[in-house]
Amino acid sequence: MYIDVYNILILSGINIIMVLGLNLITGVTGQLSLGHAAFIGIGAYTSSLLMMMFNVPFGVALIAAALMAGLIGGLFSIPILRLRGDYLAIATLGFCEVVRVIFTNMKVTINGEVQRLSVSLANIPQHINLPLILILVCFSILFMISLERSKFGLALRSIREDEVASQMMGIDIARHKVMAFAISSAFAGLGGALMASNITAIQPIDFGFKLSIGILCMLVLGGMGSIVGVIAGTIILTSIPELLRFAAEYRMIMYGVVLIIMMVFRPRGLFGNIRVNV
Amino acid sequence: MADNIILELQNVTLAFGGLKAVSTVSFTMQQNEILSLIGPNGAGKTSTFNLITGVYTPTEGRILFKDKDLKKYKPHQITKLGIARTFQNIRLFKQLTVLENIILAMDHRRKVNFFASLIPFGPGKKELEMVQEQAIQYLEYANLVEFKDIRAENLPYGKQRELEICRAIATGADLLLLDEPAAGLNPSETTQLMDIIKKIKTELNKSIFLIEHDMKLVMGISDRIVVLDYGEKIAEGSPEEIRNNPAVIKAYLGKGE
Repeated sequence: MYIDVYNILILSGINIIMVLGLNLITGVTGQLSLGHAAFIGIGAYTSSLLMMMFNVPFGVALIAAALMAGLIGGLFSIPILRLRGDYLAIATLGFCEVVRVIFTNMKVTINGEVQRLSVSLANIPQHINLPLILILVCFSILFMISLERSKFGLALRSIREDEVASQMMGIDIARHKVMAFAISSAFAGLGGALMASNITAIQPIDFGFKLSIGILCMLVLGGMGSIVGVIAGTIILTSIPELLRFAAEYRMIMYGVVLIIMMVFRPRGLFGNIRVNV
Repeated sequence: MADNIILELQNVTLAFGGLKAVSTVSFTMQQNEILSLIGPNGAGKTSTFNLITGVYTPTEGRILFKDKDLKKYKPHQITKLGIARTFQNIRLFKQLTVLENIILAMDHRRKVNFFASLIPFGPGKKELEMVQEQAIQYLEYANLVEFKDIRAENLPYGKQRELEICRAIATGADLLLLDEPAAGLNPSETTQLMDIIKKIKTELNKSIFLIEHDMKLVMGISDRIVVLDYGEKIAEGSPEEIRNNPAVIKAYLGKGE
């Protein structure tokens, strides 16, 4: 049996960046988001279209993708600030669908040729290699650890614990949530840009509800709010489908079994107890 | 005398539809005073606290804190002005450590740039060390320093109450609102709490406004008492006056035959 370790490492790295983003808003701040696929999609299309339509260099396209996703994430969080729990989940899920439909109906002009985004956008420049991914993953991990340790991160964790008490201790909940959403979405966008460049062809359906749930599963398996957990959960759930390629029909079953075993034996995730402290 | 007024309620009414939770209530509170708010269940005591801390806005009337109308401020801004509170059912940040609970309360006083606070050396580190030192001083004052690294949820119940009061002090507020601080404490813990509250008044020069059902505590430490019933103020005065006030006795015990 041939195992493509190189490919698994690259996929895991890209997923870790996205799940770290989700962890900030869902694990650290306690706001369940089922809409992160939308920000991944925004990042993927932003960088791909910039490179293909305007020949923007890859590095610049990556930064633009992160900024674009962050900006939209921040703006999107303003009207939903008051929602929490299941209502927030529904709202973010709705947003995810809206973004997908917008992509499906968009037209772009590439090299003078009008193209619909509803069909696969192919021939995205491939710039992904392992060192680049490793550097970005290390940067993301270090950034998230320092963010959680900082004054801002402590405030986010207090919002997760008790929003009312946090407000009464002088925390501006609205400002913190908007910033957390923006940073979280920026990482999702960065991950999306890397993903697009790695698979070189994307279509709107790639960024649907299934992707949101997929990255949420990685976070839940590892343990919400734990960076060690994010890394472990992501690598495990990214490897399983690749390792079980020979048993393609049973892949999703294995995925489910892993999650059920986790819920029975470690309900707070594999590394739910390892969290950053000041 | 008027200069020393820290908090003033002027004809404050809070209505939820037709129900008046608080109805044209007026009273003032002096600086460095222990004022108690008592009354039967549902009298509007916690609603009054929620009005002062900005959770609700008064339907009518004004609330002045240090001569500022609180209507314009959001809850977190009111904390910055100098009002902090504890809760009837303890609301600590359970999964944060005791020390982190205190550091969080100091958040609005921390002057550190967002980016500087991310970097684990330089000014950000210096500032964090300074804040930790101050937080430990607060914990030392409250005799909680030995627990500083354990999670708040693992503290014994009585200590959780003390930590909540300590956290309110750590916001730097001049006025502390304590919502039933003695609830769930045994008699000896209640006596200790009375000493703590007196100490906060005399040593830290705070003003304390408390809601309490434990009459021994209320009568023992209050400078003045305000009594609410069905949202209306029915009495105000020293513990002696309140104890003998016929309207208060009626509200608590019902009408004598």
